[in-house]
Amino acid sequence: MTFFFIVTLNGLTLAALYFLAASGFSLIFGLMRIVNMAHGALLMLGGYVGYSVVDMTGSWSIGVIAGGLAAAAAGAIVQAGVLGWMQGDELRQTLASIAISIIMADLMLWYWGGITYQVELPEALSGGLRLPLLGVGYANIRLALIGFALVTGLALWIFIQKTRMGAIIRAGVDDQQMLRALGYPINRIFILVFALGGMLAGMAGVIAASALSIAPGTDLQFLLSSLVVVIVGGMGSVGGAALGALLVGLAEQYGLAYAPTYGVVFTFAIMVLVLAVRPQGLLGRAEQ
Amino acid sequence: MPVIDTHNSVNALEVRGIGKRFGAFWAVQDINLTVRPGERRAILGPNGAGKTSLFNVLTGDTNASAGSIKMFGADMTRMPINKRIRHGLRRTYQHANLFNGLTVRDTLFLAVAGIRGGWGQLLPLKASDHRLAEAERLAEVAGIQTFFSHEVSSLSHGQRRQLEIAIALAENPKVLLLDEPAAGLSPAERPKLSELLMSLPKDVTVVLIEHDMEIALQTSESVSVLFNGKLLAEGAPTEIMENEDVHRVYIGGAHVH
Amino acid sequence: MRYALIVIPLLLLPVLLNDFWLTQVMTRALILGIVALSLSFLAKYLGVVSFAQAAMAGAGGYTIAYFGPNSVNIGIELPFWISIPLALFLATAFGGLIGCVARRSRGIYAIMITLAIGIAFFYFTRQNYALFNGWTGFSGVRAPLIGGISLRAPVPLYFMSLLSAVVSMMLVSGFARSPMGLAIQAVRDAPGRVMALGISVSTPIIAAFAFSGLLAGTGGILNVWYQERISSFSVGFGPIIDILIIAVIGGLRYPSGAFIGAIVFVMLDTFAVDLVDRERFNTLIGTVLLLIVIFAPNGLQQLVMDGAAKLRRAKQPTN
Repeated sequence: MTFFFIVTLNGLTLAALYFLAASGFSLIFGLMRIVNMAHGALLMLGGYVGYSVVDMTGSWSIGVIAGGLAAAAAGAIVQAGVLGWMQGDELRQTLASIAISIIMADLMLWYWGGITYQVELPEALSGGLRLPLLGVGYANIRLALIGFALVTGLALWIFIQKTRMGAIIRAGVDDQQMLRALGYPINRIFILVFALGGMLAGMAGVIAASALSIAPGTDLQFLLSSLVVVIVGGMGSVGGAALGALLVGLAEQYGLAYAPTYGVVFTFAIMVLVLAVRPQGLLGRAEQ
Repeated sequence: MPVIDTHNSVNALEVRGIGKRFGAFWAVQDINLTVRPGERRAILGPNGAGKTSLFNVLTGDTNASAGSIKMFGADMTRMPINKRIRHGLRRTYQHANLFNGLTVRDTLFLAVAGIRGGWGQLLPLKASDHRLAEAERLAEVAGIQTFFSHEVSSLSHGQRRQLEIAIALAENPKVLLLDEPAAGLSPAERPKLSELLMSLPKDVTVVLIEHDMEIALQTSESVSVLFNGKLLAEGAPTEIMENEDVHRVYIGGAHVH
Repeated sequence: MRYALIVIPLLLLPVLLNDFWLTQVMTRALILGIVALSLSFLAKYLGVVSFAQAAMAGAGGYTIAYFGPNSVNIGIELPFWISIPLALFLATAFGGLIGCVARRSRGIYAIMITLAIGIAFFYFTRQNYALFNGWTGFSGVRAPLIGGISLRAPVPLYFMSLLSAVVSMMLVSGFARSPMGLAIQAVRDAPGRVMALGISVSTPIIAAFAFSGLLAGTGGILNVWYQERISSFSVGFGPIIDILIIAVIGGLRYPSGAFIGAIVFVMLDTFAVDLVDRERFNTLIGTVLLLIVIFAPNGLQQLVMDGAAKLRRAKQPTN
């Protein structure tokens, strides 16, 4: 029984990490209808920059902020320099973002090499905690993940649903012409959304590099998890991403614990099942 | 005077007390229609009279809130669309959503044959296929045989309308429901459409919903006029043209409102 | 006639080229072209850009490796006249299965779902040892001896690849003119209308994916013979993207462009050492993809056709 609870807790913490990683992807997709295939690369950039900054300054929080800012800048450049010019042509945007992700991953491999890095944790997060009732130790950082995910989710929801900026962005998705005619700087708003999505990805990258580790291939791993989370939960809804992350995280950990060589199959089976019943995802709006 | 055909005791369409309600609003109410086999019936009415609601109830796109519909004696009030199709009911679409990348030939082939017939459907279509001959016959009926091998995307609006009708004629329909076939046509294209409607096979019952009074009166043997969701008048085109009620609400409608 | 103009020089190539050019460039380009063709087919006729083609090719390749001679002692050795049809069948079935999963999604949704399937297949091959031998996969896979001719030799393998490529092209153009092919294109243009004609929408979609699985599986089998190995890396993100790049370079809407794209890709890959640092090939190919997407979204095939049309117009100024 203790084993089951530990696996469940592992699933929850992984879900928290997946949610952090997918939130930026879901935000950009939901608001701008862009499948940003470079999302994994942005996340990895954040992780690497975070590692280097923590290594230099010794401060974990500065590392997280630096990772977020670096990925935000990269995201803004991607939107302003390439994707923004193809507004409305989803296939081209997708292909272009793939090209960008390949280039970014290769340049990062060049600069940081093929080694695995782990970001050093601050004292408060390192070490473990003896869990009440279960009586086993559990790493602080993994418990903190759940907190990070809750705060991020809440902040995103408030931003999209309750702020004026969120309202403008939501309107822009539905009717760009109208918003443009009303004098809103649509292009700049979209660049800002991309920067925000990049920032979420970058910070998630540093956190992932702290809780787990980071190496070439991390980008792909989180791109896949973000894709599945968003497909399962529903395109472009914060609640959907949370639900999707929860299902995928738990499925992966149960799979790993009880059927090690078929772990991926569980994740995949969930996706297929959801698609069969609700092609738009569990909490997505039907719009096709 | 429309003659009641006593030889055919079973009517093509028998609509009794049909109503369609949206919330508290009745779009159409208590409509009775009797259409004989082979009859050409036009349903006329100003905008908002309930033509489209009645049409959708007949095609099965929406379910009636009240009343019953019988086609050749078979009750189809609650029948889903695909079953109505199997019973020989066909419709055209006003906003033609056609296969732009296919030719007229291929479109009509699909309408005639679908993908029934097992593994043979994976093999290239032979020019001698009898189903292609049927497709060509339909194109001829609809007057677009000269464009038989053209891509649908290259057709004019009028030609697309003709293709719509050709598609609906596939597999020998018994009852054809035409949804404003003249909508959006240029004045030059209208006579051609009238001609096509009049040349449709005599054994097919045709009900057409039309806004254009001229085409409706020209191509139909009998006309039902809707107004405010109710049946206002019914009769031969000549009677309808002289009907005072019709003049008041429909022709003179523009002056009244 | 037009085919003959292309195929006859290709038949003469073994006389003209040395083994390096024949094998490293031509055979490889033909094989990659066949896999990319499976993608262009879906893009052109069904209007779906699929990222699951490497997985379909992998299904064919892994079957050949599992049921053929290999040096990792996994699987059962079967004669080629059983293993080849079996591999083609499984690749086709896998394609159909993917179509079944993705059948209700279009546009970018279909991209996301097929990509998820492709990457999930990659992780599955890495985790599973019983069937896929984990991330090391199969090595020492030997191409069969057919009628006394070994397909391991460069010239026979070249001819086999050429034959497969020609047959694949013919299959595509034939299938596109079949009733099912017409229905597939009808689904691409107006799925709602297909239903109104009383035709199922799912059947054409699944058939299209299954047919594309057959093509990809053909390429996958040839690729295993060519590489003499298959592993999780053969179905990973790299190959997924390579196939996409080849199809995009050639022009997603032009099936024959797949082979043009493959030649360009293989040349870049082979001679990248001279252009840039070998290690930075991904940066090079990523940049090429980005430039194509920005400046020639319809691919090189369209670029060539536009150029030819311009030339023709220039030649006939009186018109």
